[in-house]
Amino acid sequence: MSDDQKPTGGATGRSLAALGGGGVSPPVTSVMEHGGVTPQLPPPGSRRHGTYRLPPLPPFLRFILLRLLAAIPVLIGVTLICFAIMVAAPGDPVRIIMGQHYNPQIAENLRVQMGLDKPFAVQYGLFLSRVVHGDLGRSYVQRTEVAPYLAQKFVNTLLLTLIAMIIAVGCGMVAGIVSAAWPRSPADYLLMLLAVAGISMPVFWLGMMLQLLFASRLGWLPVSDMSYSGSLDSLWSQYQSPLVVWWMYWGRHFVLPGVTLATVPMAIIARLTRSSMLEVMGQDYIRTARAKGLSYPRVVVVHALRNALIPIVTVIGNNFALLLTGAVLTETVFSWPGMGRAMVEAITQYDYPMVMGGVMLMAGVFVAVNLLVDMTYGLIDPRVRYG
Amino acid sequence: METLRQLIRHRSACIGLVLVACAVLVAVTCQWLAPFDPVEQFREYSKAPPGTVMSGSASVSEAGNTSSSEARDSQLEKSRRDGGTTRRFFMGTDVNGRDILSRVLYAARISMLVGVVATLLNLLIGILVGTLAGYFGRWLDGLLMRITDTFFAFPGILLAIIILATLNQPEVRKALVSISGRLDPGIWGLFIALGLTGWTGIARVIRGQVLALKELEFVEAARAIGCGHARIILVHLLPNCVAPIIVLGTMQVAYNILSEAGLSFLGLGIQPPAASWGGMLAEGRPYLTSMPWWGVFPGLALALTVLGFNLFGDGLRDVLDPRLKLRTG
Repeated sequence: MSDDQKPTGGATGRSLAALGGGGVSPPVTSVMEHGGVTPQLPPPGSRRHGTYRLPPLPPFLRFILLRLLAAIPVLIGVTLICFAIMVAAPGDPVRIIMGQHYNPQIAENLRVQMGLDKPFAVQYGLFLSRVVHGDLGRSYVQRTEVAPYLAQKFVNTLLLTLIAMIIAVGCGMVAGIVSAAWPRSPADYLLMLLAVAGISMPVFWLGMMLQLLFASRLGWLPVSDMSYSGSLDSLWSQYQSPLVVWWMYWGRHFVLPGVTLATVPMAIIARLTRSSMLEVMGQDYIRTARAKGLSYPRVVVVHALRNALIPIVTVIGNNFALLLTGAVLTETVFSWPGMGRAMVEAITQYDYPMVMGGVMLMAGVFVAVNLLVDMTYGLIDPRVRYG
Repeated sequence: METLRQLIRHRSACIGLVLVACAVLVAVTCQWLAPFDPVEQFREYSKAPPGTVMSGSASVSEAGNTSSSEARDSQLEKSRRDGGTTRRFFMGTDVNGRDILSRVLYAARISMLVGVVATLLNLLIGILVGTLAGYFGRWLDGLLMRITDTFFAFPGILLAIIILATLNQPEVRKALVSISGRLDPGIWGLFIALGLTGWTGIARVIRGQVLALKELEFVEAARAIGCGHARIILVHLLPNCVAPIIVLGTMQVAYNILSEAGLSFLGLGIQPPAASWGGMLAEGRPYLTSMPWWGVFPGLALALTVLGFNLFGDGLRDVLDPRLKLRTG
């Protein structure tokens, strides 16, 4: 896309240079400013002659724009890989749709109607053009539009992920800071042992053990599902207080899945916070701060933490995206009506439109979260320059 | 030697090494260690809790139709009287009367095999992509890194699930049976699915390493005396990447074992009755309250194996390449 526009940019650059730069008519500049990439890619010709430079975008905007453009090939690549695997798969979606009422004649018609008889490139092209028009198609299995179905599942997963992430970031960073503030202390050893156990934990097994202990044996929390199975009214008549009703209907259902999903990122964040903090704690400015007479907690939290934050935020971003998309196992264990489970179902039922939609949504979220993370670098560390 | 001494002094690395060694030992010798055949069904002993004793002479054919508890008692009596050999179900049995200990031991073989083979594939792809991108740079770097980004943007194990769902269909499984020997044909899908998905981190680290190395004088010297690209990469660059390769490889084994278990848990990897930790957990999940041993022991074995690899990997990293800390956490 940007390659196509480069020559045009170069040509306009040169023609503007020929005009002498002074007499630029307003329409031309405005077109160029709104033209996306064109203004900020210096045309090769004009650079060589050095006669005219286009006014650059602010570095931050330019950075975001470039990153968004870089996401396009990634998204195309993701869908292409996915599409190729599924078209190459021996499973026949028509057979799945028709189930027991399989009839070769109708199947053939359906195949033509769905475009499954066309070559791979054409099928993929049709898919892309539909996506660009905002149409993700209809599910083969659920008999609904893909987009609203996925959106609903996505919200459920997002809720779970946010809670898990709050737990993970909160506990993980505190554990890491404590470990780094008193390295080689018993607390450090204990926390890091817990952390390495955490990253080694099979999430689905952890979920099962939590269910066994807190739901089956102790009966404190529900075994599974996202909300109370009975009606809201019966809870109201029983408890009266909105907080208790909220807890009984929603709140307590989030505890076990949230903790389960949070464990691995919590452990990763704790370990990374520790190593990143220790790196910073050895620097001269920490010694200076201590020498000034600042209290140890203040030095750790204010001086060290802020400077240690960049790798931590990167990992938080990576993990958030991974959680959001990789909650498959937790959702399966806790019968959570989320995205991950919907995707596994769709994949095993050869529900191509659903799989493609879901994969695109997840990859898009991944790209967006990573972009957000990169944007926060500037907030954390003013020395970071974009561009 | 100094490295080895440091490694021996590293306490968690030693613990990890012991756990890994145990897992490897079990994986290699499971057919002699296991007290029972992992798929043999002792119907009259189904749902037996851990430690249940079985008289040596009992077998499926003998005990036949008699009701289970009576049969068990009478046989116990008989074995006590005869002073005959008794065998125990140390971890109990599952709903079909299969010995869980034997299944846990046999599953170690599957897990280790998948973990190691998939990691070797990861390393192969990762090193190839990383060195090519780092060494040749320019458009090749751009292209390879975009491909890496694309694979990295694939959410979690979703790509593995998609590949496996394709490879796990009955027709494909049937075709693979002949080359699988006594293993479940699903193992091929796991090799491929995990091998194709976990290489992005390795590729990035190797690329960074190569980028830094290729500017150094010894590479320039090698080029000056007329070494070709292949020789420079293989003889001069890659040996300098061994430390991160070993560290990342060890941790990748842990990750691949976890993923294998997760995929088998979802019913996409190893299919029952073949024994795998993830598959056993999936089978035991509905019986979690009534037969907790079914869900506890396989998970414990899995967690300990993964812990071993992670501890050992940590130790290796501290000794070989501490800078990786900011990457691996």
